[in-house]
Amino acid sequence: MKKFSFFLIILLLTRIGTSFADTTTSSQAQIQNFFLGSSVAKNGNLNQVLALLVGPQGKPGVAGVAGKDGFIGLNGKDGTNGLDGAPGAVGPQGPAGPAGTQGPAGPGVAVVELASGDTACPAGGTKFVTADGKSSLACNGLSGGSGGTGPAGPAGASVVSSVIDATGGAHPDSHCPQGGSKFEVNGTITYACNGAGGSGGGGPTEGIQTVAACTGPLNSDAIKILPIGHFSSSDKDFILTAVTLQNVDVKCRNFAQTEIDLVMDSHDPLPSGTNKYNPGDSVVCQITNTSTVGLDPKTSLTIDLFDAGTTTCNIYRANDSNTALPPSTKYFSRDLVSIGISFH
Amino acid sequence: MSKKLISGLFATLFLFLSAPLASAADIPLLTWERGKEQNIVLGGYASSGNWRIELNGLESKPLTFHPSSVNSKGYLVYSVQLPKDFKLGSYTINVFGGASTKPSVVAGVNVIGMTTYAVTQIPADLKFLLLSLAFIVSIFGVIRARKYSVHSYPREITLMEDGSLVHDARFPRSLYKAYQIRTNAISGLKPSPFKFFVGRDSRFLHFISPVLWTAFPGAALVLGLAAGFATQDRIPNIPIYYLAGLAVVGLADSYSGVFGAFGFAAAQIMLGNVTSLRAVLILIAFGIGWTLPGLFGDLLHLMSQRDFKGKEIDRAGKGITQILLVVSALFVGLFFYFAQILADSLSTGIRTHLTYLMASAAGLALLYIGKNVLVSVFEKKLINSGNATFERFEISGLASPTAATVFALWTFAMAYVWSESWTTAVIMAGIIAAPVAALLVRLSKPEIKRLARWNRNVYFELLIVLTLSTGLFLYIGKLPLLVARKSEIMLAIGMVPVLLHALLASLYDVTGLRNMDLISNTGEDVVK
Repeated sequence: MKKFSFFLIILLLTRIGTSFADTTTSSQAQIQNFFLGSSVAKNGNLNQVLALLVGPQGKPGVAGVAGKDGFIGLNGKDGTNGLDGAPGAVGPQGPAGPAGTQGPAGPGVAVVELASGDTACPAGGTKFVTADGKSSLACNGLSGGSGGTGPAGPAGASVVSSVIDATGGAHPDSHCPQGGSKFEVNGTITYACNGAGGSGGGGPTEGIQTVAACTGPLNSDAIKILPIGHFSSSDKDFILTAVTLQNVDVKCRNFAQTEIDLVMDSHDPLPSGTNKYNPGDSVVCQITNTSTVGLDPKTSLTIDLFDAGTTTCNIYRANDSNTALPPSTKYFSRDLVSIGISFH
Repeated sequence: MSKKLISGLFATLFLFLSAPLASAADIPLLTWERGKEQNIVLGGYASSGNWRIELNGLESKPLTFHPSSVNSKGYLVYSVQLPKDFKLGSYTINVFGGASTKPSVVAGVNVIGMTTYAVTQIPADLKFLLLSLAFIVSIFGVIRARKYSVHSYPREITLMEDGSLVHDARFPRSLYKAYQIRTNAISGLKPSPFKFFVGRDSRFLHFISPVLWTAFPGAALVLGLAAGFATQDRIPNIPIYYLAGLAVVGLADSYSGVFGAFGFAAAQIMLGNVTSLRAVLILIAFGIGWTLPGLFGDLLHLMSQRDFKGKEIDRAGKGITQILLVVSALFVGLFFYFAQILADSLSTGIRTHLTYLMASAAGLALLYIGKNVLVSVFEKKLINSGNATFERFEISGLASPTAATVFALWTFAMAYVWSESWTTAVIMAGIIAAPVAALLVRLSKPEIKRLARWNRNVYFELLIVLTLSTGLFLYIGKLPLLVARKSEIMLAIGMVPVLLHALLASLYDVTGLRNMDLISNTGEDVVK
């Protein structure tokens, strides 16, 4: 670096010396050029300073000649209004005013009936809507719970019972020739007599069945099945006319159809006009469930086997369960083996 | 009849047309350069009226002249700074005040572009230069304090020191000699702050690649030559890509920046553009701008870290360190800009790319931040690798007589070129060189005990010096003098706050010496 600096200084001094040795300029200018270079010739005509002299304040001039009178001026514009006055003192209270006129009729109210299942009224009700859009509800109450157990009744009268022997021998009892029992309460006598020997059975009388889809697991939840029949004097036998289902939960009724399956035994010979049903055949009857709205949680349902308007019955052979055969006009109670129910 | 009527109408027309011409002939017509301060002297009974003077043009807003204080003879000087982008053309000088309610047109002005740069006619630039000088010189007064005297840094063990130069296959054989020359060039320097900071600065390239470190000065020399030949005689208008490129080279490695400046100077000398002291000073100014910004930033960064060591740094963690780095980077950019304005002030040419210059200064500040971040990463790796050695330097001799003499001569020459006045140059050189000369000696008395409680802080002290200098410049600006005369006064006495600061720093140094004695006697570090 030192060598390089030395070289530069030599080169520099050579150049400056060449300029300084120029004999065409005066010695004064040479010194000037050595420091400032030759390009600093000043232009005296640039950036001149302006000098201004402010003179003394002049004396006031003589007063001028008075002028002529001017023209009479025009009328001035109207002045603006004055400010409002201060408020007066408070006066005495005035007499009572007359009665007002009758007001206009109020707006009408629209009444809307609400069906069960409405979000606002689950059990249905009525909605009132005024003209200004305000609404109010009157909902039906939900079904109440079951009542409590009633109080114990009064002690009953004492009963004197006695057995009437059926083997009365030559003097059978006039009230109960087949024997029975006699009950006497406070002087009132009642009999319970044995019947004469009957013939044949009546089939199933009643039973219970649970349906997993809509009943509870307890026996008390099960559906009670009651076959309904009447005695036909012409046939000398009991005829099955209907099946009543008790303790049916509303949830079961929510299904579209209720179906009963009557498994029958043989009845030979069947009276004329009836379709024959063989042992093991099934009589399947269906009814369309009605709306459950308003129903109690546990209701009864009667399926009339011969009401063509509500019930559809068909016979299915035991060996051909897919072929629906026309129903019979009579079903004898004693032929009934079992009853099954289902909901679809 | 009709001919007489037409003749009469023409005569009337020409009578009115000639009236403005007659009026214009009654006022002086001046030629002013834009970018410079212009003056109007108001004398006579000027102080008795409330006068207002404006420069009016048809297509620009009026410029108002600002009055000075009144001198003993009742004269005032009204001044206005014509902006560098002031619209060229014709203007009038209107004076308002006195008994008349209407303005009086007292002169016409033809505003032309700046033909020659003269810093004494541009007070804004002159103030910036003097404040920058005050900032730089005041640092010499601060750095003599004991707490800034000891510095150290980690560096890589050179390939010559560990003997791996000829064994490293990655290092080209052709660069062996260059590597040795560069290593010896720095190590051969006498111990000085310059040697310390150049050595510290050159680590960056050595961290990246010893090959790059070796070849960079040569590349900088070539770039400087190219810049010098491309500039021709258009100084100070060096093509911006060369100007910025050399600045980046100098920031990356100040040693290479010196070679870039050498290359530029050699090219200019060969072209015959350096034939006066003015031209030499311009080259030095450019050299300063390409060599010293990074070193100046490092100096400020190290000093300010000492100021905040044990205080905010411990509590705020890296936040303060990063702020100090950003502030140092700001001054790196300002230092580069100062060097360019210094070159402008010494040249008679007019710079045409000031906007690019400011952008370059901002870019340089950002690069400085990036360089320091990378260096700190390299330092951590180096220390962890175990291939580090620590360079320690203690500023014992603050300045050599040669350095003080060169600085005084440089200041004298610069002040003479600015003012073209021997007296002004001598006064300014004396005041500016005094703080540097004060570094030659350490006083042993008088000892002022109150100064012992002075907790030195480089930025705080520089702020006070600059505030005092600014106040002094405002006062001088209000004097009833022409701009050239006010500039001479600024040059002559504008550095008085710097001198006062240097005097205080020397007196504080006495206290510092006593504390050093305490250290040697008690072995405890009692230096603040």
